[in-house]
Amino acid sequence: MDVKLHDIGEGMSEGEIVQLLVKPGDHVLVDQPLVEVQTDKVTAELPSPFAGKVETIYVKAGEVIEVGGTLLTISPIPQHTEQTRLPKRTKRILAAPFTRKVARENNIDIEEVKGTGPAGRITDEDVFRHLATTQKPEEKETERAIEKEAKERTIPFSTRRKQISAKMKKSTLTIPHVTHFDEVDVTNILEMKKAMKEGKGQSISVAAFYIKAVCVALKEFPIFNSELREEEGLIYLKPDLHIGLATDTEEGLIVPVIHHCDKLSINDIHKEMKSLHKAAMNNELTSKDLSSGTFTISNAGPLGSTGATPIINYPEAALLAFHKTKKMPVVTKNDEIIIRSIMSISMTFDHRIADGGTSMRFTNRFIELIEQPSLLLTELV
Amino acid sequence: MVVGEIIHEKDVVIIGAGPAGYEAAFRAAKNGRDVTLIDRFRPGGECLHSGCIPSKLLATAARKMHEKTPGITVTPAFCMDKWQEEKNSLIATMEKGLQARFHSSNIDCVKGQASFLSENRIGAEQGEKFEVWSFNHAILATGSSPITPNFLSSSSHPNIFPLEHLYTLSSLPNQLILFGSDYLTIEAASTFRALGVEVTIVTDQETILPEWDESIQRESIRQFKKQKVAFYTGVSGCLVKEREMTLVFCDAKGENVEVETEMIVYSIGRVGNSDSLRLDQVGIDIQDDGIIATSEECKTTSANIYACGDLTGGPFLAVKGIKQGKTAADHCCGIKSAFSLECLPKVIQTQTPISSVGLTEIEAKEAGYEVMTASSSMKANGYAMVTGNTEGKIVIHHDRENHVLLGFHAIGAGAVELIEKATLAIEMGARDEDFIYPYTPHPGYGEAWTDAIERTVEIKVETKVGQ
Repeated sequence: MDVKLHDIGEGMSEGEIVQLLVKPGDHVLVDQPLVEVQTDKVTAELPSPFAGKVETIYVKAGEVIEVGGTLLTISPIPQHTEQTRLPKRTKRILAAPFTRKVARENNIDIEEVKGTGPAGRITDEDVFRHLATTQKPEEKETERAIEKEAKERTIPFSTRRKQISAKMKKSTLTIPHVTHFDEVDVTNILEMKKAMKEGKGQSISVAAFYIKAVCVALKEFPIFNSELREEEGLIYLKPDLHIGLATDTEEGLIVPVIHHCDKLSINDIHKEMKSLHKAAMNNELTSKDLSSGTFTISNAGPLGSTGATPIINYPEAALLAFHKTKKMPVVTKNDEIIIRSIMSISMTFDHRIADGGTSMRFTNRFIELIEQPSLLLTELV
Repeated sequence: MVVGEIIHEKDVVIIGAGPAGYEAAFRAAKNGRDVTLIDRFRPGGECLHSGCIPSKLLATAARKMHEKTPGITVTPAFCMDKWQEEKNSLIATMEKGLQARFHSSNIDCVKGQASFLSENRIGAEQGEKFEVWSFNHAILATGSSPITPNFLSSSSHPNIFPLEHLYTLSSLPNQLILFGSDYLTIEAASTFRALGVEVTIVTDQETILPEWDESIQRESIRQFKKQKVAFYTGVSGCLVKEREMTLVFCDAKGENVEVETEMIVYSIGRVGNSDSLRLDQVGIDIQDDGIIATSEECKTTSANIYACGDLTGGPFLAVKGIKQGKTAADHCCGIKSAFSLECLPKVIQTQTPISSVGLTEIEAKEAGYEVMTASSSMKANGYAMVTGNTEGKIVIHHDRENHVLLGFHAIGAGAVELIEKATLAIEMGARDEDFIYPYTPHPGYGEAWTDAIERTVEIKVETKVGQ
């Protein structure tokens, strides 16, 4: 059976063979590393999908292989049907035939029972004790799972996690991060959303409004939509606005990108967001979906939290996180206390290329656009 | 398929009416199932018609020939022709017994060559009639057939045939060569020698009874030598000169040997009778040797199809087939059954009977036990002296660590009777005091066992006194 180079995460399209870890004729176990592959993002070991014997290896170290390309062939070891044989080389379990029957009837593998009888013989009581400790089959399953969880002190460092790890390390070791917090009164946006829902029944996520506002603000503060190229001595102000959406999935953080966000309507942004989110959850993101982001938004709001110090999605320049929206007492200009919906935000930026003042002016502009949606309206293309 | 054919709907359809098949049928019927049993020949299988029953009947006759009873003088004479009549009559009686049980258990026993038509249909051809059954569960018990040694494969000599045909002869040969080393060979050699035939055993194996305890191999060889049975082990380059009826081979020392004989029979292994079943229709794989792989519940790889007996591989013993037949029938009726080969008792009805259960010394050591062996000669057994059967011995292996009985091997009078106690003892995980303490009938063959065990215990005491 052929072993192909598969997508080991973040939509890679090709990989370089760093080294071969097996040679033809080797017997490999399932999950045994076969080759080490380097992608543009990560180095990973490809595990054997099944146990067998390595027949032919088609690649050599240094070669670049496209996803789907055949790396090697393994002839699987045929799965033998369970067949009864005299267990000649192991000591026999001591148990009377009657006791064995009791165990069989209770779906207990006699080999799992600890014998307390003479010479370690398993008694009926031992079987019943085993039954009581393992309880009902379904409970037994969960209990085993819990037991397993408690026992296991290691979990596999998945490819996704490896990638996250590498990126986070790179970002924090390169960029001097600064984060500042602020609050946005989102009452007006929420009311607009509510009115739209009640009016035409159109449902648009508030995040789509935020993203639009971010786009407007980024146009005015292009420094946060840039990339520092230290070796060239340049700050590269990117012409396009591709907004990455930090998305929490079972396997870990992933950042799909809404491309040319400045050219999209709020409704389009909403639709795009939804489809990317779905693709992320179903592991269907393509390499395009994940590439060329210029600024990242982390919409932590639905989950919770009132503040964070996010790490920038290297090599971008900044990241804006939206936190939980809460109803809070607010003092008006007229010194009255009213209830408003307040969302806290965290803005992290690269202190090498921008300072706190610029960052605060950027978030102030964002706040302004959200608190007075009419201003946002005037900015729409 | 024939237009308008009638399909019989059955819970359980069993193919093969040997011990595994008919025991499966009885058990399934007892469990309330509607059962059809199909066999290409007659009920009883190899066991009744050419194996266990005929061979035991001839072994019994041979034994009686030599039986000495104090005060009784007889000059026995054996007539094979007469024996055949009695054999056929016995088989007919036993077959009738089976038929009567089928009838009273509402088992439909059909003669025909059965094969699978589809996943849940079996057809059987019988002359011009073709019948079809649909089933919920099928149990396969079609048995096995002897393998012909390569050097005999092209032979068509009427006096060269598989060992079991010996029991269909109408007269005894003067000389007989048995090619093989298994229990069938040893039993036939012993029986025919006792009936006055000049017997030669030839095998390419290192020893006779290769899978048996060494103590049994040694004692068996000693007895054969005493009976003037010639034997050659570890031979190679066999060929047969048919005109002179001479077997030519190279013995273990590398010297050429020629043995002239009247008849050559062989028993070197068996293959499963799976060819005609059309197992491809149900997706069950057949191994090279015709064997079908099964689980400890006798399940095949097809969910509702079971296999039992010789068809599932060795040891090719009815005792195993019977257990598997019951296991398969119970399991397909929803009873959680299983079988194990761990405590399978094996018996050879040689003139001095042989029996064995549990581990041999080699197997026990391989399994990691510290083996303690005790043995007792039948010469010292009072009852053996009374009956005039003082040949042989009892050998038992137990675990030095916890005194658990691991294996029992007997060659001598009483071996067949005592194996039952040994089988139960090993199943129960019995330890030495468990056999020493209970009363042993006196005089009785069983005392040899008690003697053997007690001897090992006594050694311990003596050592202590000595210190």
